[in-house]
Amino acid sequence: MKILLIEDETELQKSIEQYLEMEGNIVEVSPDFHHAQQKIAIYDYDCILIDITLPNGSGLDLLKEIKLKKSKAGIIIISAKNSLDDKVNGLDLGADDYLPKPFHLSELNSRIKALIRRKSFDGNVEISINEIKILPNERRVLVHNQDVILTSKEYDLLLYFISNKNRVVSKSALAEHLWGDNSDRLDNFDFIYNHVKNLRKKLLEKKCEDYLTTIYGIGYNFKTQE
Amino acid sequence: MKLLAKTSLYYLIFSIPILILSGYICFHIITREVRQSNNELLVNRKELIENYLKENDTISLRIITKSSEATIKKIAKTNAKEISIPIFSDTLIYDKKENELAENRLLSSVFEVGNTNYSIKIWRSTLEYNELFRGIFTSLVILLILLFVTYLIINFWISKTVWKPFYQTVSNLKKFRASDNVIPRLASTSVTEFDELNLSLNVMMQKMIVDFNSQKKFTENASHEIQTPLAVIKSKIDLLIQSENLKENEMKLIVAIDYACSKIIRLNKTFLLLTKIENRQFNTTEKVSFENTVNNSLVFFEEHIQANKIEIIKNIENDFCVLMNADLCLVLVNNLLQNAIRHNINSGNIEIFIEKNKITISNLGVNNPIDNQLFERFHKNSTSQESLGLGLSIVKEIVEVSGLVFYYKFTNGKHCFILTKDNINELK
Repeated sequence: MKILLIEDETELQKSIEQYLEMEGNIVEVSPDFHHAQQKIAIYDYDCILIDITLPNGSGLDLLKEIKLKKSKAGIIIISAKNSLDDKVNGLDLGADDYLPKPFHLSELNSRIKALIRRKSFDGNVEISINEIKILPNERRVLVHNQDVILTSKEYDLLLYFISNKNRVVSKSALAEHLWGDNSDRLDNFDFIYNHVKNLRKKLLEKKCEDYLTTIYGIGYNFKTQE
Repeated sequence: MKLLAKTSLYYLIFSIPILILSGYICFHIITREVRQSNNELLVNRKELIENYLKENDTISLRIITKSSEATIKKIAKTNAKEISIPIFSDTLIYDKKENELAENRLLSSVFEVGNTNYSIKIWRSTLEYNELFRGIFTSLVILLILLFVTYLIINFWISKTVWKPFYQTVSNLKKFRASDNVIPRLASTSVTEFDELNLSLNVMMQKMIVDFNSQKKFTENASHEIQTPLAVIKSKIDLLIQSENLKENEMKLIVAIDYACSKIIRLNKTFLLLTKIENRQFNTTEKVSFENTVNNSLVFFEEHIQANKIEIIKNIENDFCVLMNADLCLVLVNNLLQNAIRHNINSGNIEIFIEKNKITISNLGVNNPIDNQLFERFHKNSTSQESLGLGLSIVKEIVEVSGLVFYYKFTNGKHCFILTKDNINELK
């Protein structure tokens, strides 16, 4: 997958680039407005990540240019402003998603994957990892072609784990994913533990291999390879 | 105490000794005058009697003595010294008409006609001093009352007219909020003092607005600028935990860093939210139903409620609908419910009572009322690590911008948080 990252903060660039490249993505980086303009004009991307505040211009203007080009790229706005207006404007201009900074890399990754899934084949994709099959449109999970009945939170967790497979996903990232902006409210970590425990139990019941590894104190790793 | 009442009181206090003093002086002047005129009159009469004696006008003398205001006696010629020195004295003489002893002025003198000495005594009833005293006292009291009443009327009129600009200024000041960025127009008056007051108030308010804005700008900028470095830290932590072969000790360090980092992020987000609310950036309003909002919020907290074995008692008499920003309403209810859950006791309960113009969320908790400082930022009284101490100040801000009234009371061991549209009914 080819991804264009338009972001002026070097260290954040590096982090995102590194994380996304682990998945075998090709990540190109634009540190400012004009550079990004050229990139957008010349190349096609599967996904473009745009920061709104850029040197020499606004990410929202870039968004307009991408839309003029009738590019099929999925667009995610990553902004430090976290203002409702920016979000509404961005989505109105044709952005597919809006992720306020600071975010977890795993969250960004899962958003990109969800976006690509939605974009390709009109979202009619199924995700297959060995014996696990997920039908995102129906929110259905099959193991060895047998239905696994999951709660909504367990389903979200599974999808998140699979999007970030072979990565360590922190508990705080999970909490943020499940409870959104409100995750900082109450102590959610115990609930995560319970949800993960139930999810694992349900998967094992259907003779699914135990992919989930607990990383002490930090979180979980959904390991599909040794 | 109102200014009017206070000045009147002082006026009354100070006029009493003045009136007493003037009463005293009055009394003295009057008695002196009366005495003098009596004395003169008696001397005149004495001379008249002496003339009659010289002329031997017995008829006139008889008339005078009959009127019982004089006695004339022949006395033996003894001491020449006594002659011609009239002696004035006060005496009590029985008054037949009034049947009492009355005060009289008496002149006694000795007069010599030929070889005969006559002792003449002439008296005349004078003013009764205690009656005079009473008279003066009554008239002074009446004067005092009259003065006081006039003073009140004048004062009332002054406060209505002369003090009018002052009261206008006060009412304008009451409406002033630095966050509104509007300086109330303080009209110029014909009174120098008030003009001066208005002028200095204007300067002060201008300064307040400038200060407020720069403070606001600072918080806003600081929060925004902090976001990016925080994003970097967060992403680096995410990358760091991907490393293989992390030792337990290193993991503990990472977890601690991650925890602290998340806390700063939360704090910062909350500050941004507070700033936005203060800046009135949530200005789209719609009719929001508290019943729906509470239900949505309860779904969100479902797990927490179950985990703490909290019983939710919902009592919806009538839906409480308010014209406000829907997002803010959710934040408001979330904060209140979160508070009620966090500070609840184990297996406690939360009562949600919704009436037509009121919503009450009450919960069990520590057995004494919280103090009002809790509504200030960063005031915590629980040991809860998760609490930022900003929840109730967010509630306060939202309530303020949404035209609601919010208050807290502690009854029957329950902490009640009450939101209403108007405060007339409840704030008895």
